[in-house]
Amino acid sequence: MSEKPRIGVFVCHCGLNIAGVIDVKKVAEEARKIPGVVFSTTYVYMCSEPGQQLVIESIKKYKLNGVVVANCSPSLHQRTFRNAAARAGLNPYRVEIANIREQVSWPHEHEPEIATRKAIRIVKATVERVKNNMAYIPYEISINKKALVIGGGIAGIQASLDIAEAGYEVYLVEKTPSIGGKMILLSETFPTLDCPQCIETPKMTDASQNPNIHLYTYSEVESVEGYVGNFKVKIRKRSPFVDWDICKGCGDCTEACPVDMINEVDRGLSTRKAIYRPFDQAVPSVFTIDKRGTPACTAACPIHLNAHGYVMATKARRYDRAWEIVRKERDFVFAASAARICTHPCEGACKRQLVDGKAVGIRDVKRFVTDWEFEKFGGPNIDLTVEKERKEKVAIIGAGPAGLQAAFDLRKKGYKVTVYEALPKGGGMLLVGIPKYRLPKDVLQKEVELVEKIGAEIKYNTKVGKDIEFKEIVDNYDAVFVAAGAHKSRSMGIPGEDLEGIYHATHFLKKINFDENVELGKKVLVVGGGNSAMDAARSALRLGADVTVVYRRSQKEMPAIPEEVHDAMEEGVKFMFLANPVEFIGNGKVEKVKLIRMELGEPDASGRRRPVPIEGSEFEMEVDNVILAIGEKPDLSFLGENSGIELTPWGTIKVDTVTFQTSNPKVFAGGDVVTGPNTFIDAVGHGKRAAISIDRMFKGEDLYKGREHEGPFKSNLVGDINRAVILPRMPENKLPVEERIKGFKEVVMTPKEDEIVAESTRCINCSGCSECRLCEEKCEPKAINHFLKDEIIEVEVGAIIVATGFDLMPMEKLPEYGGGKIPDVIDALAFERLLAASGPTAGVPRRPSDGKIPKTVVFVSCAGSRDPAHGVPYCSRICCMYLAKQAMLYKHVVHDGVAYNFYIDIRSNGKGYEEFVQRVREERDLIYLRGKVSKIFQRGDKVVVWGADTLTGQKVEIEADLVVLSNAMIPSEGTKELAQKLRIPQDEYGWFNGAHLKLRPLETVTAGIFIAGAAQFPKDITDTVSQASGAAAKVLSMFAKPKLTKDPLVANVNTEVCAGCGICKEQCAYGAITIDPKKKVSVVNEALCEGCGACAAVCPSGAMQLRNLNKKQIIRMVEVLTEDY
Amino acid sequence: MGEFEPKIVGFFCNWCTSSAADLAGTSRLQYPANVRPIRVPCSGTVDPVYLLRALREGADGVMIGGCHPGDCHYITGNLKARRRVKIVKTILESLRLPHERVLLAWISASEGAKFQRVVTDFTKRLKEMGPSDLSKKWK
Repeated sequence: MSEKPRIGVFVCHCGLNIAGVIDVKKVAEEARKIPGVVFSTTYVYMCSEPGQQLVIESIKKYKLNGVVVANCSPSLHQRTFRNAAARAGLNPYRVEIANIREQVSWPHEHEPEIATRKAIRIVKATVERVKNNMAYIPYEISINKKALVIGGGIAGIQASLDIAEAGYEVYLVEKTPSIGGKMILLSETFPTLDCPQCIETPKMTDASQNPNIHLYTYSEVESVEGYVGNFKVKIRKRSPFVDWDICKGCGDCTEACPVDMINEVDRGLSTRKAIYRPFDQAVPSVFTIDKRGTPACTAACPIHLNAHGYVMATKARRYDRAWEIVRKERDFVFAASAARICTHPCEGACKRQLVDGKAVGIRDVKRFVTDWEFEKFGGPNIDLTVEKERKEKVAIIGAGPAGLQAAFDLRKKGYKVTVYEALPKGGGMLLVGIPKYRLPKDVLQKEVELVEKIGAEIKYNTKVGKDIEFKEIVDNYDAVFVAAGAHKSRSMGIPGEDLEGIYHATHFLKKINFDENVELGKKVLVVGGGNSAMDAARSALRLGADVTVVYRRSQKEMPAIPEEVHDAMEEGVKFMFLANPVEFIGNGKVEKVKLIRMELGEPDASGRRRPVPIEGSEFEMEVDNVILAIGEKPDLSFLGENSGIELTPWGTIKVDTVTFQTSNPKVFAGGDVVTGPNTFIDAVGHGKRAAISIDRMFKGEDLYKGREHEGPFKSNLVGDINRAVILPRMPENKLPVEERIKGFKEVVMTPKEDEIVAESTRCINCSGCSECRLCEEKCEPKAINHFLKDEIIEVEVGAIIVATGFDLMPMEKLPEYGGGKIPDVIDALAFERLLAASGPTAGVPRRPSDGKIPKTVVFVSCAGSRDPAHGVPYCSRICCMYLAKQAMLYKHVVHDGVAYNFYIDIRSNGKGYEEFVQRVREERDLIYLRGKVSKIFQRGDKVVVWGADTLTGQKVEIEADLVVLSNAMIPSEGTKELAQKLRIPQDEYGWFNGAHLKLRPLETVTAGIFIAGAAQFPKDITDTVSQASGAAAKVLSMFAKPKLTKDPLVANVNTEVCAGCGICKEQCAYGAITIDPKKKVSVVNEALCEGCGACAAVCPSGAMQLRNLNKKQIIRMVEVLTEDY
Repeated sequence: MGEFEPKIVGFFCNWCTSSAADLAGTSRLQYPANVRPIRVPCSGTVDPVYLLRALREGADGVMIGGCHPGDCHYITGNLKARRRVKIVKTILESLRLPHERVLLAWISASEGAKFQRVVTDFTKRLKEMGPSDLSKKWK
């Protein structure tokens, strides 16, 4: 203000609201003493017409150039007095409010003197501010006359229709696949008993057909930028994996889908398929595939074989499709071998274990499928097409699982592959180490042959390091993959180990597997507790020996698969736990073993308890043979000296954990040479991953990019464990023991078809869709696309309406009412579905546990509502009415039924509501009990309700067939995230706040963003629809203006002072500040600037200032406010 | 002269804490009159100089009230405030000056009761600390 200040101070009494506490006369008197104040007065209601007139007259009369009104919060009347000033010819930005009501008289009601002094101080500070207020003119900004409506329930639909019918475009975004919201799920609506399907579907159809409405279902608001009139919105259109432009809505796909999911629309009272339309009247009437990510089984598999997929295809008895998934989708050479000997990490991760402790028999399913394949095609049938011949040559050392899988994958890509194998046959440890009764050799050999069939060469009987030098291979090939396994036996390091008659397990098993003669006496001792020990023991047994396994720890610590131990015991292998050999005794040939007893001490690094010898407990045992099965290690002597391949301290090859590259960039390694003795499937995984690296290397691609999820990982997806099919895991189909021990016939036989199909129903479908892709075949117009991606759609709108609705408090939050554990205690929306003709029981209420029609039903009001202990002190507003309606509808269907309704108060304050409740209360056998329910529990097949009848003072116990709870209404899921994206406030319970509870309920504090329906607070359909139209009217009144005005009180640069340092630019969240490249000063884009002042707070020179709240003004206010009262 | 009454300058953001103060008043929640409010657009508007200046001018305490992290009307203004207040407090601490006299609080528009509690507690704490001698030292 350049001219001399002439300020007027107007102190409002606000009736007694201010004057009842504060001495307003004194405030006005003190204000008059402030230099620059030329006039001050008080008035009983300054905001009234005469009050405003007083301000206008005084401005004119005293030629005021600044005004301070001391009254209520500026959020209420700042605008009133700025407008009044404008009418008097004073620039409105020269008016400021001193808030002496909300922030002085009300919170200090009992201290009038102190309150008065505080008020004077605040008025004085405000006067000092106004002295430096400048005159400004609001900016005009354009309006993008399109609206975004978030939420496709009845509120969102109504608001969209109102705006669209006025001729403006609307983007309607709905999270679920269909619009309709909660209303469409109801049976009837109170008090008129209209059917919502009849009254809402026309509106849904209108919304989908109105050319001004752009419908985005299965979509969410990703981000919102900009400001009123000019919002930029990103909408994430989630992939439905169905091309909705092509989908005809016929539903043929659902017939093919084997995946049963809980139907959320029916509140879990029915199931739907993974490909689904939420309900028959859905708009748009199209199908969506429910995909939730990678399930734990597939994630745990080192080669990510789609376990869920082939289990589901098997459930559908589509073994052809299951075979494609098992064999072809991942080019799995060893599928049939895996079906027999895989350690099935998939089953280890299977979440079915949370239901009944037993994983789904995934390996059994695979066995059934590969046996089907062998039966049908006479052997393994894999896709042998080579992509495109390429010139690069790859050598692979070792024809085991890792080497052969890599060979197959690389050959498929078109590379020339040569495998070097020391033995006369392929298969590696599967060949030499696994007995035939577990893995018949013809099965394995047929799978090995696949690698040759696709065109990789296997050079048998060629030992690297002996028949050909490693260096020669490295020099002659473009890449080398070392997968030589771990075949060197460890020794015990005790006396007598070299005696005749002592075998190492791998050596022993290899001899048997190659049908060589093994001399075996009567008494055989097997040392060790792993799978090789079991294999050796069971093989020796089959050769007619009396076999004892000695293991230094107890059975619990055995590393062998429990099934194997069980089978060994069943077949007659004896076990001696907590003992260990200390010496082998004999004259040339072993005759006796000296052993020592052990006890378990502290856990070691592996977590197992360490065995400790018991001193003096030695004993001897007579034996004919000993088989040592205490582990193997890689034999890397073939690498030769100075191979340049770096090793680990454990004698394995050191590789990069992502690429499997060794210290020589063209040499890769995988399988047991890298890990030491490990599982077959891990080795196959290494082979696949090394093949990817080699392919990338040849193509000059990044070896690391996008490979985070290549190895096994954890997935936390879990299906609905509470509603899983109850079925014990199927028994394995095994040969009888007498048959087994006669020879080496395969023990586990093909699972029976009906049993395996039943077993596959035990899957709880953690990830939704199994990607079995049976739906694709059924879809005639070819609308299904399992590879469809999410889309981001960017739209520009001028206004936003938020209508995201409500959810019900989850049952788990109500432990005293069963906490969701009692099947026949359901929430009111579930009961709506039971009453609805479109519901799971076609309108006849049947209880979930046994499907019986309930003859006694108890309705419980205020389940969680009006209960601060549950965090919901508010009333959910609609429960009294819908419970009355539900009770009436129940009585209409079940004439001989009895219904009880526990209530605290009946709240029926709407048009026709009280009359409706009275009508219901007059029904026969419909008993209203005033009182709260204290406890609900199961007794036999009844649900017992304990409550009180406060009118008679009696305790009440009712044995009911079904209990319906009116769970408290809570904001819908995702409300908080949306509030943060929109930057609009929520109340402490999460409901959206209007700018003023009474006067601006539909507007948020953020200009241009409005709220409608239950997202604001629980309300019925009538109020929701009214609010929706109200919010639409707010939008339309905005759109009716040619331009919007924007507050000019934004940041401003004094270019004389600005040095162009750019610190302010970094602080601006809106990108409103740029540096003028020529003048080297900051420039504020006033349309983008929101006026937060973050830039001014850091400006070192003081060049950047907020208009009418600059540094000088604030410091002056601080000075005044720190004066003594 | 009665009991020592600390002088507190409060910088309250328009969207959250000032609204919370309004709500406390509307709900007739009573709290000590010691806090003297300045309404600012955002807690991020507050220049650290204002805090030091208030202490120099004789305030016994300074309070900054903003929206909860993630809820800022201006996206990240409150986070900027948090950083700046931290710096001011660190400087005060390193000069062995009572950094406890500066308080930053997140009070949302719906937390009238929290506003009452924070102001009451801060006033009580400052009373226990006694009058600030910073203004005398600095003059």
